[in-house]
Amino acid sequence: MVILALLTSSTVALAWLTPRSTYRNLWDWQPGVVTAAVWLLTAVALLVVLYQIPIGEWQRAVVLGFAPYLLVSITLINIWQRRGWQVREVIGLLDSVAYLALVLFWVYAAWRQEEPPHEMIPARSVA
Amino acid sequence: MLELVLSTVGCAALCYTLGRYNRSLALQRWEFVLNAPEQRALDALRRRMELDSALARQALDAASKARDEKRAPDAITVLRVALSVLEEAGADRLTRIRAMGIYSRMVQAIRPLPAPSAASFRGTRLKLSARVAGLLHGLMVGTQERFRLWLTMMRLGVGIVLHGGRRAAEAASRQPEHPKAWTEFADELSDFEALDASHLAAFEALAASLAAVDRGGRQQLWERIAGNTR
Repeated sequence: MVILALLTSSTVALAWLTPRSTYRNLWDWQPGVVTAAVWLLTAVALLVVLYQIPIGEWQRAVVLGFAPYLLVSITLINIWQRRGWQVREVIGLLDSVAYLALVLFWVYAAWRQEEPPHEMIPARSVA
Repeated sequence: MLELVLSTVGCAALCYTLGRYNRSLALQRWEFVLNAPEQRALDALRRRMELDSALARQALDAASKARDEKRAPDAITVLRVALSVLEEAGADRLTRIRAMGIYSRMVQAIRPLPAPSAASFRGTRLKLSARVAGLLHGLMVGTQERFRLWLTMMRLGVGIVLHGGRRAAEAASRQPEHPKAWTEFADELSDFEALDASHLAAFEALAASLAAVDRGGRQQLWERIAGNTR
């Protein structure tokens, strides 16, 4: 419910309370949005470690793969903003290659057999 | 440029954190130490479930044998005994499920349970409810709400099994020679045993979680650190 409320309020705020933007000035918003996404993923990772949540290898791979891709994406947007529209084809190509690498990593993680947990601590009596 | 720096820092923190994450170690930490009273309670519950299951199965076997020997009235009587064993056991399970629901709100954390699976059940309605519960399990985040989902599924499951058992016993008493009702009753009994296994797993998880509740040890530790020891 909290996530839904956040999503709704942020969508409404972006739609009505911000100046009209087009694809030509995507770097006004996109870097900030991507940075927020990276930090949300980082917060998730910190919570997982702090509360020792037993997540699977697949969920770990999703987060571990997506954050570096977002970093590559924001770097490319930065270069695009500095160099202008003449580099858009190279930027598009590099972004596609990065996304392909991400998908390959996810496919590898999805197909890899997850190791069963071993050497569990036996329950002991403390009476 | 600021976004690039922030993203790099965030990404590095994420890779460092999740890179050092050890799933086996996290699972081990959730294996709380069970103390003796909880272990005894668990053993007592396990024995009671085994006894209920053995009684109901023995009664069903005796009823089937009587039916095979063309002693229909005896078969129906013994089948009703098997049903009464199931009903008594079901009432006991429902009471414990209600109690577990209350206690689950008192613990700070509950050991995670796996998603409910339809594989161990035979009845269609029970399979369906387990699938729906499995779906909802994926949508929930907290282990406490997932635990209570388990309890809801088990409460529903006990109701379904008892209803199915009564219906099968009624059908068998109307037409004792018809094998379908007897097969249905055997399926309901098998489902009840599968529910008992889930019940025991939930009880064990709750007992382990209650064992992890702070009973003042942390306060004593802080007092010792602060130098307030007598």
